[in-house]
Amino acid sequence: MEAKEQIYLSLLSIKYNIIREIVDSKAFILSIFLSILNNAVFIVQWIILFNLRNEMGGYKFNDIMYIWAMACSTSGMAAVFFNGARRLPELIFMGKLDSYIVQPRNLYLNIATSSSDIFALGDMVYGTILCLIFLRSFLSFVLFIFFTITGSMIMLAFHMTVGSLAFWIKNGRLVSLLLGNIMMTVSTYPDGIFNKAIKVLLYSVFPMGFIVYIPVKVLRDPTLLLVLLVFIAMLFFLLISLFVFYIGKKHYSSANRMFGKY
Amino acid sequence: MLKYYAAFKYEFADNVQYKIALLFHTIIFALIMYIMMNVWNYLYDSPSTYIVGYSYPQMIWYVILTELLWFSTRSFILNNQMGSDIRSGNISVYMNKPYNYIGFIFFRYLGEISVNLLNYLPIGAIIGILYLYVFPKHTILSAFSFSLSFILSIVINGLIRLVLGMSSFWIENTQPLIWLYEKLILIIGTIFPIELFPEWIQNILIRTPIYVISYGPAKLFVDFHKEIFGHIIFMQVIYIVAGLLLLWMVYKKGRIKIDINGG
Repeated sequence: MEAKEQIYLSLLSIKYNIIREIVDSKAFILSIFLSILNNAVFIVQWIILFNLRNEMGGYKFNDIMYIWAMACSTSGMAAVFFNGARRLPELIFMGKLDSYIVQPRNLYLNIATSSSDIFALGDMVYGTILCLIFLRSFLSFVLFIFFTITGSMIMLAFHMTVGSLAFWIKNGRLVSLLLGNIMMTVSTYPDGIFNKAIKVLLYSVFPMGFIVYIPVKVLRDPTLLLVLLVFIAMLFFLLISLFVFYIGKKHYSSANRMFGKY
Repeated sequence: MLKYYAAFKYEFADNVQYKIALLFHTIIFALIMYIMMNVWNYLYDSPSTYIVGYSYPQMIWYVILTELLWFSTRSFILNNQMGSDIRSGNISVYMNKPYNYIGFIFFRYLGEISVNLLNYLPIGAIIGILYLYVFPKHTILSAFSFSLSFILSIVINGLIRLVLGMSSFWIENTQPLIWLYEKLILIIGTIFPIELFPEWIQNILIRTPIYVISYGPAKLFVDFHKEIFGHIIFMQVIYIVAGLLLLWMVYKKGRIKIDINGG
């Protein structure tokens, strides 16, 4: 099947995931509202901390809001479009990959787009609202959208890579969840407060540097070189995830379970 | 009392089994502590600086205490199990038994969080000592006061969660309420002491659960004064009495609705 058709099928899959989730419109709106509120309450924390000092790890208050905007929009987009990647360890552990493997679709994309976390739409909305409030120029907004896409792709790559650990280790589900949580917890704090060793991790194992920190640097001071760097990093992490996933797939053994894909 | 002890023991034994989940939560706790230490390390220019009357070690111990209380008292039984029992009507099975349902579920909560406390208390102490090389100095009186306040804060936390969980008699999904309560405690009550807020907000905060659940025990642990001890315990007792009354009223009115919920 051609790449164009694969992408079309993936988009269809995402569309139906979302339609399925928003059947109960009241619950949908409430979940979006709660998700926005969930993120917004953290502003209190930063207002208090910035009362003590007018910069934090080289970041001003507006920059911290950009960090939050990037972290929320990328994680939100990744969860809405590629939530299946976060379910990968469960699919492997329970032997549920069978129904994906037999379909005439690209396995990687089929799994990644198999589910949507609609609650995360609130994160995307919140990130966009923050960006619009603290927007510096139209270019900043265009860059914000670009980095949201590259960031969500890097997150997809991250979840597929750590999720693939379940092909080799029994507790792959917990390890994957733990690594994902670590990444999300760290991502909303400025990298300037961490020591060098942690910073190295933030630009390698946990690629928050390319999802949040470099994009925020570009939003503050647009640099073409850094934009290219983020794009190349995205391709690199996607290739790594494809490599790890398909190598890991060779270790997959079916549990002979009978069930449909959903 | 033995039957409540049995509920406590059963829940304790059940929770102790999930060692990997405990390890998972411990790593997240240690990570949050690491981030908080970095944040405060950045905010304190030098170890001799004081922020709103707190030295650097005092601030770190304050955060360790509040975070470990927050992590330890998150209860699956009160946050999820009870609401689900009420909605499904399963609660009627428990209510037919020869014990008080509230007492039964409260002791299960104590069993559940005892495991958490046994996990987080030593981890918090180790993190603090390894990072600061100092432990807050205590007299017998201050240690007793802190311990009393710590226990009362756990009791109040349980009572508030019970009331929130009991609201399932009227509300289909109580998760947003529980979520809001946990978020308020986390953002306002754990990361920094309430002295950092403007005075008019402080006057409001000392009347909220944040003061008796989070700030109180942590303040007594890092900066003990007899006057503040008296006030914290006074407020905690008020909260316990008010919480018990409210719980009794909610339960009395709510249990009538069990048949409506299909119990």
